[in-house]
Amino acid sequence: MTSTALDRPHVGDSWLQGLRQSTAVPRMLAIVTFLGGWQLLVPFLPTEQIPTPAAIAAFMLDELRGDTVARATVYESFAITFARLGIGLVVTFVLGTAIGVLMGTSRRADAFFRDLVVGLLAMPFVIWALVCAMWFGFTFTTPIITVVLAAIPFVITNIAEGVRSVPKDLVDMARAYDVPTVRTLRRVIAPSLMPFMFAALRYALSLGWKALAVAEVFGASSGAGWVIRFWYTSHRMTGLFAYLGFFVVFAIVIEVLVLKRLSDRVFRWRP
Amino acid sequence: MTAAAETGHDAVGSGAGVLGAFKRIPFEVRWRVLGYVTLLGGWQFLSTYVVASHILPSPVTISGEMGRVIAEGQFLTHFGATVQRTFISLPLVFVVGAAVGLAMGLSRWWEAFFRDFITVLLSIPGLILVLLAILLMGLSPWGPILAILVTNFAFVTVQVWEGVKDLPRDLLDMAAAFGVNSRTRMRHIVLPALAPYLFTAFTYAFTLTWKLAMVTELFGASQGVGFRMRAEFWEFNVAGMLAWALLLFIIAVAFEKLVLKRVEGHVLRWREATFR
Repeated sequence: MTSTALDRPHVGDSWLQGLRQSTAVPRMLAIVTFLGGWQLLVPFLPTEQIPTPAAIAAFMLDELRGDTVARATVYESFAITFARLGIGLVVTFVLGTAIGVLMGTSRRADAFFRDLVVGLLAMPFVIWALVCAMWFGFTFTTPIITVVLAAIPFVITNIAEGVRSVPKDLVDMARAYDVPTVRTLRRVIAPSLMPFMFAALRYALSLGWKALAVAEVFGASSGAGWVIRFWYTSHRMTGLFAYLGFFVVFAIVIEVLVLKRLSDRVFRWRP
Repeated sequence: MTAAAETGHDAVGSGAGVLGAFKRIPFEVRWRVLGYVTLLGGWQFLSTYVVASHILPSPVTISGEMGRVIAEGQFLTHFGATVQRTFISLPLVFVVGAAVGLAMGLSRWWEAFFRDFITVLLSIPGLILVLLAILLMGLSPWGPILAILVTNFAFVTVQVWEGVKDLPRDLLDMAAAFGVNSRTRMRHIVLPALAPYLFTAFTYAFTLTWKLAMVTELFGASQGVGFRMRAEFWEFNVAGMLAWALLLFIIAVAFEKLVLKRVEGHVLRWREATFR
């Protein structure tokens, strides 16, 4: 009897303690507080403009079913946006790797390009979005060029750093032992370059994504950014919030499904 | 080829005359200058001979436009408005970001609570929030400030969060064991350890804030560099737009390099002393 009386609070205690230590509770609580608070607060706000989370979710569902007043469905818009992002990133990586390798291997090239790259790094991509819109009109390529200009300095700096950190002694040893070039590339240079490539990809993706949104708002007649502009000019708060939601969902999907998998695969050689 | 080999080669190659004088300049400076010359020369060439000059105005035209903007006195008004917006938002961004970062670094509970918000906030394009804030608050000055705060504070949070987790626990424990009072602990252990993170956070916050301040002005303002850029955009005056953009860019970068870097060197001087 006494033992159970002593045990029970102990069991309860450890259960409570487990609950207190698990991170699932505060995570759930955060989402519930945020969305619940928003939902409950909306009727009391002095403005009628802010939609409830429920209304936004309903709007998003309608959009996903293809039921929209905009000119293109959410699938068509985001397909265009992703195509632009993909093309932009490929171009960025090809050009950026070329310049980055040049800067990493030659001190002359480094001195030649350095200030240019630093300047590009500090340039707000809004300027690129506006300038590209003026130069190339409201075409398919305008946002792509903006993505390239916004993301390329990050790729260049990371690749240059990576090239400088390739283990010279290992490359020398490989040469001394007549290891074929392809195998040296594959086994020595690529693995030591990978973390830098990856950092470059991460930066390029997150910056390119944001630059793309801005470029499409200003200088495009299609894509997700264009739809955002459409909701803005027609004063549809719910539409803006819904597209914000789509943007966040896609960003997280890319992060969790694509980048995480890719990094697990690329870095599997690490202990 | 290494630097030593380069300079050695240069010393040998130094002859008489202009070529010799040119060759005595360190090769890094030479190539750096060459970079600028190529950029500006190529630009000038393109705008003179290849594309129409109203599409790509030459550097000379743009600097003329810059001079006009400054001489007419427009620059101070609009630049002042942008600076004001930046410096009202900046402390807010920094304080909110640091507070959340501190909570996340000190308590696992708050870490888990805020983590998802931070992930989401880092992935939101600031522009969408700016548009939302303008729809919500009209042209009130608080709309843009709120948008800047919400989009940017997460960057500060991440830095401070990392910094707090990286505090030297052994030193703090030892200080506690030797009965060092909390003010001294704060001054000599916590602040020096946090300083580099706070600095990175501040630099991020500054860069992000002036850029976003400009974006908000593109839409919801009647003053500021962004507002002028929009006006030039609609008048299709590429030279005017680039002039405004470059002026702000030059001043912001100069502030970063000259002021922030110097303050950083001063605050972080203990590290030099330690590792010397």
